[in-house]
Amino acid sequence: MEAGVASWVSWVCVIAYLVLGPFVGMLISGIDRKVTARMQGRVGPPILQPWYDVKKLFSKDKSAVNNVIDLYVATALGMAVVAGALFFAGGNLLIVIFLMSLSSVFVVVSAYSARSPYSDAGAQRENLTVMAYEPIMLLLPVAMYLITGSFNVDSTIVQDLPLIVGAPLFFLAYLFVMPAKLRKSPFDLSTSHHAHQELVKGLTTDMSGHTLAIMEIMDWYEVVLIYGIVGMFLVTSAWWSWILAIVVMVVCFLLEALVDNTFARVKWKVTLATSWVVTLVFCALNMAFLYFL
Amino acid sequence: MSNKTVIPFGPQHPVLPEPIHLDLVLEDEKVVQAVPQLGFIHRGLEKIVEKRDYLHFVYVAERICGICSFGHSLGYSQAVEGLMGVEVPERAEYLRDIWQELSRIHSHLLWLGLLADGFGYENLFQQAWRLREIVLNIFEKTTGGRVILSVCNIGGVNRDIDNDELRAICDDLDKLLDGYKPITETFLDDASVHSRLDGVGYLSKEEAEDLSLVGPFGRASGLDNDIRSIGMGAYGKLAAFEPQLSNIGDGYARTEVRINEVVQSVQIIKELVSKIPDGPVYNKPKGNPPEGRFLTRVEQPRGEAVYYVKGNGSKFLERFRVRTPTSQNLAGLLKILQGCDYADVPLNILTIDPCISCTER
Amino acid sequence: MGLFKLGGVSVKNLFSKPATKTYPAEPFEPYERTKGKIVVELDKCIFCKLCMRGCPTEAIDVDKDAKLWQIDHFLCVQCGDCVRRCPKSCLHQAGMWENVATMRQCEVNEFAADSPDQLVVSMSYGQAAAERAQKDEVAQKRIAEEKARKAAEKAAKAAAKAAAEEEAAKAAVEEEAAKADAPKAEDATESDASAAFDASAGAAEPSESDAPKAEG
Repeated sequence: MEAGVASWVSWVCVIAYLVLGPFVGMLISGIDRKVTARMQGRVGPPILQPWYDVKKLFSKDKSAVNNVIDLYVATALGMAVVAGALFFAGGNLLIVIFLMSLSSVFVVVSAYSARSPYSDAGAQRENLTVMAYEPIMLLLPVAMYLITGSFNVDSTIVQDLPLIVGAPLFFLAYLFVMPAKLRKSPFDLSTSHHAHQELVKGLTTDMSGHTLAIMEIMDWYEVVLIYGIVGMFLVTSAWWSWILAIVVMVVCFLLEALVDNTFARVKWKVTLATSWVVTLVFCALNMAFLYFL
Repeated sequence: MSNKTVIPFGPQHPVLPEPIHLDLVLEDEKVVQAVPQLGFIHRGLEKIVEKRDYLHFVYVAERICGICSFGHSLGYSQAVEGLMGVEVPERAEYLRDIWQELSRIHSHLLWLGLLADGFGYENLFQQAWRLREIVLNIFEKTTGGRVILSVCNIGGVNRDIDNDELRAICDDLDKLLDGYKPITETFLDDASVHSRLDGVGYLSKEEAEDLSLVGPFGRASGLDNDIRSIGMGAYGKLAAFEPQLSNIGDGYARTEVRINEVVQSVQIIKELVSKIPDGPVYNKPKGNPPEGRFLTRVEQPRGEAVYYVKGNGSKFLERFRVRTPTSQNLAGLLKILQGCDYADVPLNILTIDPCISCTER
Repeated sequence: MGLFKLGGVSVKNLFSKPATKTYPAEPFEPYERTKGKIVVELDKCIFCKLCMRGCPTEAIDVDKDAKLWQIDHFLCVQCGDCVRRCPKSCLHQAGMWENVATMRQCEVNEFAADSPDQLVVSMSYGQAAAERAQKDEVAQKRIAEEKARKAAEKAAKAAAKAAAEEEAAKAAVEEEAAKADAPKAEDATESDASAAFDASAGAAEPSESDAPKAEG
């Protein structure tokens, strides 16, 4: 185990993520809705709206389509939480990425189990979207290994230079697929935040009540993790790098909102094609740069 | 062995403005067949004509549809005026055509917003509808209603717009055109919008002629079917009128035709305002509709609508029939749905500009 | 083909005031001609029932005797026909709509009991019918009383006229008698006759005045 942070710090981070993570995610979600609304010229909902939504969802009657959908969604939530906790504890990035993929697989399985035409089509599209962003996610630990020599997240903290200096194109490719992970245009094929698409609400069409509430909470945990990976590119051993990381995270957040408001939803072929082309080209160039320098 | 699934589309669906049910037979994300079912919004409005005084029926006629409401009251009034031989004052004809063109602008802006929503671009949808508010405010200032105007009547119009107000309307429309530029640029030039609209629902000119398509749906394939070219009413006083045509024939072309029609409508309104004569606006009809029949046509935002009335001497008309443009274009819809991608189904349905409540009355 | 075509508009909107209003927290200003529910100025109304005949949905009901003007706002389609037809221009469209209700009801406009103030009350159809029946009864009674009073007045007038005629006739007869008296006053021999004549005239008078009384 390479030198990293002391184990008690890891535990503190894990507890912080488990307890505060959903609140931070909820606030990010709420602020995102407000910023999107302001960009469209509307007033927008209050910032605590996601909390009100989840509270309302929990108060609804149990009307799940079958018995197993709750189990699948709860498993997906569990995997996402473990992935995030491992990440913030400074653990192995490969395991984190695999756990995130496993969580999406369980969401897809829960959508298939609902056996309705819309959620089936949404599940198929989610499969395609996962195929679109998996390559870059799997190449991120490779980039980290090439620069820091370790697959552990906490190895970045002991570096002098942030990861972004050595892997800028990886960072840009990751930003390119972030809308797909955050379920925003242009890559919100499987489900989006509004039920305004041809698949009604895609994956989550047949989820209601506390099932949908668990999906929302999983979204909050995942949002913190996704922006955490953005920050991972920027932290170093210097104390001010954390502040820089937060600033860059905020800039990426605003950029995501702008991209959501300036792109239409594209079809799955375009999603796959553009994501793979960007991934291959950028990552190949970057890796060549890393190998030969 | 391909597996066929049947996906029910509608009647309740976020992208549909009005309820229509389509059973889509899919083979792995490609639509093989579409089986329509209508009748969810049939209210029997044509039967009501036997129970309502012919003067009162105009208020029923304008409630056939919310989007093309003024066009229906105009068509009905024109038909009964033709049957009874009532002469409409000239100023009333100009005012009617100004309201009809405003109705066309608001309908096309509504359609543009729905199309943007259909391919997941909420921001564009909001901006298009925000421009539509300008037109709805004009309606409210001049007639009192935003959607149902209650202003066209047999023998003329119920209210006058004085010339100062008409000039203010032209200024408002200039502001609308200013705000319209970013929206048209986005629809016509944006890469992600292109990826959704290009090649979607292609119909060649021969196919369009075979199916006798009306409205911008047919004009995008090159058919010259605009009734305003005939020159009824104040349209005959325009210096020149050329319908907007396109040769491309797919979803992109239909968007382009409707975008250009908005600009053309603003120009028509300005020309009518500059030429409008003074005079009365209402000529009260006397007596009851005589025995006889009359047929007239109006260019609704969605295409040509035919109005037929039959009188029998009493104050109740015997028959009133509307042939709405969407009922003519449904055959075209079924044709473009065959063989399209599942992701394109809502776009195909939206590009014909469906107004199901007109179709089913 | 370009990208970010709406980017300029989005960023501009982010830093401007939103274009939407938080209605109903913020009130909305109707235009001058905005359609809305029909209100009546009852003191100008002459209860001619033209509005009732013109209404396409038969939402208006007018009772001339009870002086009630009643409308069902939920049947009304705000077409404005009644506003245009009213000969006294006492109907207007207020620029706002009727609030929601939990049952069918109509709005009754009537005069308050003992004052010329206009009362506007929403009530169910049953109550409105009952109220109208009651007001109608009162109105009918009043009308009957009016009729009786008028008839009595007419009779009194006729009686007075007859009495006046009778007086005139009496005066005429007396004058004649006086004229007949005057030439005979010089003849003494005729004084007896005149006295007799006087007595007979006096006798004739009560019988004459008796006769009209018997007739009257």
